Amino acid sequence: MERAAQQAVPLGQMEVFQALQRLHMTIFSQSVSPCGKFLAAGNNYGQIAIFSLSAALSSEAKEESKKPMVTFHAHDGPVYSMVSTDRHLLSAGDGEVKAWLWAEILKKGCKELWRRQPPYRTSLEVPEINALLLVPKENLLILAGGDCQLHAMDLETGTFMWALRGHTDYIHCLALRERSPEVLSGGEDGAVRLWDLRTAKEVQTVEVYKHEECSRPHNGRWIGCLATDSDWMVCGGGPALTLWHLRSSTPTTVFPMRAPQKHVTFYQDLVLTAAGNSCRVDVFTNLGYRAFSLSF
Amino acid sequence: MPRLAERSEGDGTFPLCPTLFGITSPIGSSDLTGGAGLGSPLSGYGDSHSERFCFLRGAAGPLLPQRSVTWGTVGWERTSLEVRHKTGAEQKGMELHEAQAEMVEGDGKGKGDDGEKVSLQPRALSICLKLLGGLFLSDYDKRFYSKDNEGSWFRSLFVHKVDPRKDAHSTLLSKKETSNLYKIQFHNVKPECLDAYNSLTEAVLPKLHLDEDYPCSLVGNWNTWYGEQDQAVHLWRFSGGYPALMDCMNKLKSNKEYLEFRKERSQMLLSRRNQLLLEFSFWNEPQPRAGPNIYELRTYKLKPGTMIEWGNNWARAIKYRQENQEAVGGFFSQIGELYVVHHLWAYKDLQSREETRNAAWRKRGWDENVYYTESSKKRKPKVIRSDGAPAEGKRTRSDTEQEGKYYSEEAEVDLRDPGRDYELYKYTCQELQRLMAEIQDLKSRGGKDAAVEIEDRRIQSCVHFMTLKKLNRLAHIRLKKGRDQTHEAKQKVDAYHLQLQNLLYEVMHLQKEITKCLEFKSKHEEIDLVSLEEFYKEAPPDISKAEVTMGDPHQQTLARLDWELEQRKRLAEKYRECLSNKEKILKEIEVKKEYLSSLQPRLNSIMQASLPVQEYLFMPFDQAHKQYETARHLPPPLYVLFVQATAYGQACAHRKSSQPPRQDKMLSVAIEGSVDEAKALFKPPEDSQDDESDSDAEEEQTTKRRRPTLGVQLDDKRKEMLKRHPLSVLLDLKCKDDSVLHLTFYYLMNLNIMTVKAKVTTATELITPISAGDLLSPDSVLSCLYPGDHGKKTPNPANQYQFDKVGILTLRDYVLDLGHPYLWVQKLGGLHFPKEQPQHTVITDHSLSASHMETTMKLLKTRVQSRLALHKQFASLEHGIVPVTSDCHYLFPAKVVSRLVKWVTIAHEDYMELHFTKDVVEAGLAGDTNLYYMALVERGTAKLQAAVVLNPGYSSIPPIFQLCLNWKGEKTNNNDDNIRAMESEVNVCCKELCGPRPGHQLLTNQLQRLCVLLDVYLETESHDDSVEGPKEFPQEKMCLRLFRGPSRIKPFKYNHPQGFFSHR
Repeated sequence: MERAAQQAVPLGQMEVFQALQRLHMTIFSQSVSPCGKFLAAGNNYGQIAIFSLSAALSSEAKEESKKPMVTFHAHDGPVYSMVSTDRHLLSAGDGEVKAWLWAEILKKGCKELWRRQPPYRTSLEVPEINALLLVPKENLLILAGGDCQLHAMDLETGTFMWALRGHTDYIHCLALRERSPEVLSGGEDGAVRLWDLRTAKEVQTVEVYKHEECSRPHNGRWIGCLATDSDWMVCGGGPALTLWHLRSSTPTTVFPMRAPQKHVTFYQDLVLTAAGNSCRVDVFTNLGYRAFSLSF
Repeated sequence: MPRLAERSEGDGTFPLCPTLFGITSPIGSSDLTGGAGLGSPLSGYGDSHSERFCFLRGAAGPLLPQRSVTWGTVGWERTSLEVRHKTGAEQKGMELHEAQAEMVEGDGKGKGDDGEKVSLQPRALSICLKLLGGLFLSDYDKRFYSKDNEGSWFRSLFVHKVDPRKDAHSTLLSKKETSNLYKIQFHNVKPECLDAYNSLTEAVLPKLHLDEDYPCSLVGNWNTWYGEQDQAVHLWRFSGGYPALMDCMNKLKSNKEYLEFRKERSQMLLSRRNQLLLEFSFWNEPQPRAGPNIYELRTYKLKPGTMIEWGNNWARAIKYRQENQEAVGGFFSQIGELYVVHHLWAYKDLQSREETRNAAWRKRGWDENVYYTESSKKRKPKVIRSDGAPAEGKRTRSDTEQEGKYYSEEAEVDLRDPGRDYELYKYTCQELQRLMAEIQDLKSRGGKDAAVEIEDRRIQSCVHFMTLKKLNRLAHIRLKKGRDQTHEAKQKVDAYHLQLQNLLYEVMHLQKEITKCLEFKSKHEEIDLVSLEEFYKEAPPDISKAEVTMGDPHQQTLARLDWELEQRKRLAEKYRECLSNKEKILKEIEVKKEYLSSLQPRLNSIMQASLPVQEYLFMPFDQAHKQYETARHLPPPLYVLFVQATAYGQACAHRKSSQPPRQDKMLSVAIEGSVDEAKALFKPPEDSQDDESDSDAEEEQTTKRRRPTLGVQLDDKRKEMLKRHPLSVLLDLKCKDDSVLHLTFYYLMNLNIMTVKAKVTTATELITPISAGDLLSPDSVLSCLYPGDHGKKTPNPANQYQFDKVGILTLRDYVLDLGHPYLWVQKLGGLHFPKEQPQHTVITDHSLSASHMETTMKLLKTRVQSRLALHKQFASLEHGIVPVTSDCHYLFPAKVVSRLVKWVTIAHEDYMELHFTKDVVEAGLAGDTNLYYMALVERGTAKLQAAVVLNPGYSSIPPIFQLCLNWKGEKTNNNDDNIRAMESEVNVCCKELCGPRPGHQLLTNQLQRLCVLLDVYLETESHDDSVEGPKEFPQEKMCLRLFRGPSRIKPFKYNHPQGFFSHR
C-alpha cells in the first residue's frame, strides 16, 4: 500500500510521458528477419521493436500479439535504417552502424554484436546514417548519410574499404542495380548519382531538379526516394516522382503526385509508391497512368 | 407312653436301684395331661395350667413320730405318666374316662382310685423323690372326706358350679393362715458333690429340726429320682406362721454352725430355689409315716384366679384318694412362684402307686373332678385311643348325657370299633324286637306273672333304647369327627400350601437379591482414572504397591482409586491456594486503585499550576489536551485524520529543531464544530436511522397517496443522507511563501465517506488574471492530486445503492456543498474502499492514514505552490509577456523574435472541436478535469496557434501543446513533419525546460521554447527560388545543418553556451 502510494505520482507522469512519446513517434526503418517470421522496426527515439509477424497474422491473433515481443534501445538518435543479413540485423542512425544477432534478439538478449563508425571528418556534429545497402555479391555494406559520402564496409572484416565522395549535401537513399554492380544514391542536393562498385567511381549523375517537367522549387530539390530496375529508375522528393531511363538520363514519366514522396519501389512492371503525408499507396504503370490506389 | 405305664404296672416288681427308667414331662402338651373335654362349662381353667408330678421316694422305714427322722436310702423312684381310660361303672350307668397320671406308692397299701382333679396349666410336673429325712407322716388322718358323695348323678349332670367366694384365696384355702407355713427348697447340686451334700445336710439339718429354740421342723429331705436330677428338696414347716419363720431366720443368721454349713454347701450347689407354701385346708397335714415309701411331688401351675376352683374341686376329689393313705400333703405357693400347687403323695412302690391310682379311677366322682380341673383342651383321639379298655359289655350307656359325658363319649368313639357298634346295634334291635314281641305275647296272654315279666321286659327294653340312643350319638360323633378330620387335613394342606408359597416367595426374593448383587455397579467405574502405566509411573509405592496390585485387579483398582483420591485432594489444595492468591492479588489491586484515584486531584492541581509556565514556554500542552478531549467526540475517520495530522505536524516541527518550533509550524490542526451536537449525536445514534428506515417503508407504501409531498420527502431524505458530522477537522498547511492552504475535512455519517473543502490564502494580495480563474478555486485546486482522483465520485461503492434509494444520480451535484470526497481524503481518514466489490468492509485504519500522510502533505504543498506559480505566470502571459525567469535564460537564445500575443482560457468542448488536437484527444490526454488554454505566437505573417492542455498535476505532468501554423498554408503535425517535430520538442523534451526545482516555470519555458522553434522554423524554411524578393525571415540563427534525416527535420535544438542550433 505504501509503495503503491509512493508510486502513484510517478506513474501518472510516466503514463502521460508515454502517451506523449507515442504521439510524437516516427518509425523510420524496418527489416524482416531472414526466416521471414519477425519484423524489426526502428523509431525516432532510437528504439527497435521486434514484432512477430506469424503471431500477428495467425487466426488466433490477439491484441497482445500485435504488440512488440521485444523492445530495446539501440541508438541514441533515431534509427534511420535497418537491413538484415542471413544472421544479423544491422541498424544505423546517429553515425554508427550496429549489428545484432537475430537469434539473440529473438531470445530477448539485446546485446549488440558489434558497432562500427565510418571515419568522419567533422567532429562538431556526428553525421547521421540515412541508408544502408547490402551488396551480397561482394559481401559489402554500403552506408550513406550526413557526411555526403558512401562508405563501403567489408562485412567479413568489419573494415571500411573505401568512401565515395561526390554529393554536396547529405544522402537520403541508396539503391542497387543488381545486374551490374552499381549503386544509385539520391541526396539532399537533388542529384542521383550512379556509382560503379568495381572501380569505386561515379559513373553517372542525374540532377533531377534541373529538369523542368519534374522540378518543384517550392518543395526543394532533395531526392527522398529512389528505386531502380536495371535500365529504369524512379525517384522523388522535392521534385515530382519521375521515371527515368538511366542510359539516356531522361525523365520518361512524371507521376502526378503533389506531396513529396517518401518511398517508392518496383514490382514487375509496376511502380509502387507511398507518400509521406498521405494515407494512400498509389500504383502506377510504366506509362504514368495511375492504375489504382491502395488506401488505409 | 401310657402303654409303658400299664406294662410297668404289670411288672410287679421294680429293681431297687435308683435308676431312672422313664419320665414324661407333658409340658405344653394337652395330649399327655389328659382330662380335657370339649365344651366344658368350666373350660376357663384351660390351657395355661400346668401339672407337675413329683415322685418322692420316701425315707427309710417309719419316720420318727416326734421329731425323729429316719434317714433312709431305700427305695427307688419311677416316674411315669399314665393316660388311660377308666370305666367307672356307676349306678347311673355313666362311664367316666379320664386320662390320669397315677402315683404308685411303694408301701402297697392297696389301690386307691384317686380321681385326681387337675385344674391346671398345661405344664404339669411329676417328680419322684427320694426321701432323705425329716418329719413324716406316721398316722393317717382320716378326717378327709371318706365318704363318697353318693348324690344323684343328676347333680353331677347339672350342678358342677363352684360358688365364687369373696375372701382372699389363701385364707379360704389354707387351714389357718397363721398355723403352719411351709418352705420348700430346691437345691441343684453338682453331680459329683451329691453324696457329700447329702451327708452334710444329714449332719446339720436334723440338728435344727431337733433344736427347740427353732420353731421349725424338717418335714423331709429328698433327692429327686425322676425329674430334675441331682436335686435335693427340703420341706420345712414353721409352726406359727410368718413370725416363726422370721424368728427362725434371725436365729439362723447368728448360728455359726449353720453359716459354716451354708458356706460349705454353697460350694456344692449349682443353684437354689425356694417357695413359701401354705397347705390346703382340706388336705392332710403331713405326718411322719412308716416307710419305705416313694413320694411323688406333683406340681401344677394354675391360671391366675383359678385357685379357689382348684381347691373346691380337690376338696371333693380328695376323698377318693384316702384308701391307701397315699395323700401326704397339698400346698399352694404363697411367696415365690405364684399359682403353683404341690401335691405330695406317698406310695409303697411304683406298682402300688399304679394300682392305687387305677382304683381311684374306678370310683365315681374322681374322674368328674379330675375333668373339671382339666383344661378345656381338646384331646387327640389317638392319644386317647387305647386297647386296654375293659369289656364293653359291662358298660351301660345312658341316653341322657351331660356335656361332660358327651365329651367322654367323643373320646370313647375313638376307642370303639364301628363294626362292633353296628353289630351291637343289630343285636340291640333284635333284642328289642324280641322283647317287644315277648311283651306283646305276655300281654296278649295276660296272667299274673305277666305284669312282672312285662315290667322286667320293659326295663330291659329301656336299657336297649338307651343303647340305641348311645349308638345314635356315637354315629353322630363319628360323622362330626370325620368332618373335623377332613377339615383338619385340609387346613394342614392349606398350611403347607401357604408355606410353599412363602418359600417360593422367599426363593424369588433371594433370586432378586442375587440378581441385584450381580448387577451391582460400583461408583468407581464412572470415575475416569489415570491410565495404568501412568499410575505405576507416578503414584508413590506406598499407594501403588506394585507387588500386590500387579496380580490382583481388585487391589489394583483400589490402589488406583486411592491414588485418584490423593491426587484430587492435592488438586483441591492447590485450588484453595490459588483462590487465596487471587484474593490477595485482588486486594493489592484494590489498594493500588485507591492510590491512583487519590492521585487524580493532585495531578489536576499540578496541571492548573503549570498553565502559566506553559504559556511562558510556548508549550501549549493544555490547549493540546483540550483539543484531544474534543477529538474524542470525532467520528473514527476524522479522529484518525486528526491524530495522524497532529503527529505529522509535530514530526515536521521537530525535524527543524534548530528553528523555534512554534514559529513556522507548517501544519496546524484544529477541530471545528459543536461538541455538544456531536455528543447528542453519539447518544442516540440508532434512532435517526431507525426513523429513516421506518419512514422509508412507510413512504414506499404511501407513495401513490401522497404524491405531492414525495419530492419534499425525498429532499429531506437526501439531506439526511448527505448529513455531515457536526465536527470537522481543520488543517492549515503553510507553504514557504506564507501562503496557506486551509483544508476542512468533513465526515458524511450516512455515506461513510470524508470530504474536504479547500481554500488558499496568500500572503500578498493577488491580481487575479482572467485566465487564472479556476486555478485557485476551491473546486479545482485539489483536483487530481493523485492521477484520476478528481473528487467528483463517491469512493465508497456502497453509496451508489444508497443514492439509488433517494434518487441521487451522482454525488457530483452536491460536491460544492459537501466538499470533495477525494480518495486521498479517505486514505488520510484511514478509510479504505475496495475498487470492485460493492460491499464495503470499511475499517478505519491508522496505518493507512499514516502511510499517506507525508506524501499527501507534500503533494498538497506542491500543488499549492505550483498553482500559485501558475497564477503569477498567467498574470504575465495575459499581457503577452513570457516571464522567463533569470535562471532559465540559458535555455533560450538571447534574441527571440516571435512573440506571444494571446493567452486565453478555452472550454474543454472548444478544445475538442479544434481540428489539430485530434491526436491528443485520441490519446486520451484531454480529460475534462484539465484546464485548457489557447496561445497565439506571431512572427510577421506567420501565426502559430498553440492549444494547451494544462493537467491539474502541473508541474509534474507537463502541459501539452498542439500546434497549427498559418503561414503559406495551414501546417499541422499532419502535413508537416517539422510542426510535429516542434510539438515533440515542446511536449516530449519538456524535462530540460523545467528549470530549477520544483519546475513551476515549465509553462513559461515551454511557451518561450515555442517562440524559439517558430523562429527556427521560419528562418530555416528553404527559399523558394521561384518567388521573387528577399526571404521574409532571414536566417539569423546559427545552424550546423538545415535539414537532417529522412524526414528533413530542422535543427530545433538550442545548444546553450555555443548559441547554435543543432538536430536532436
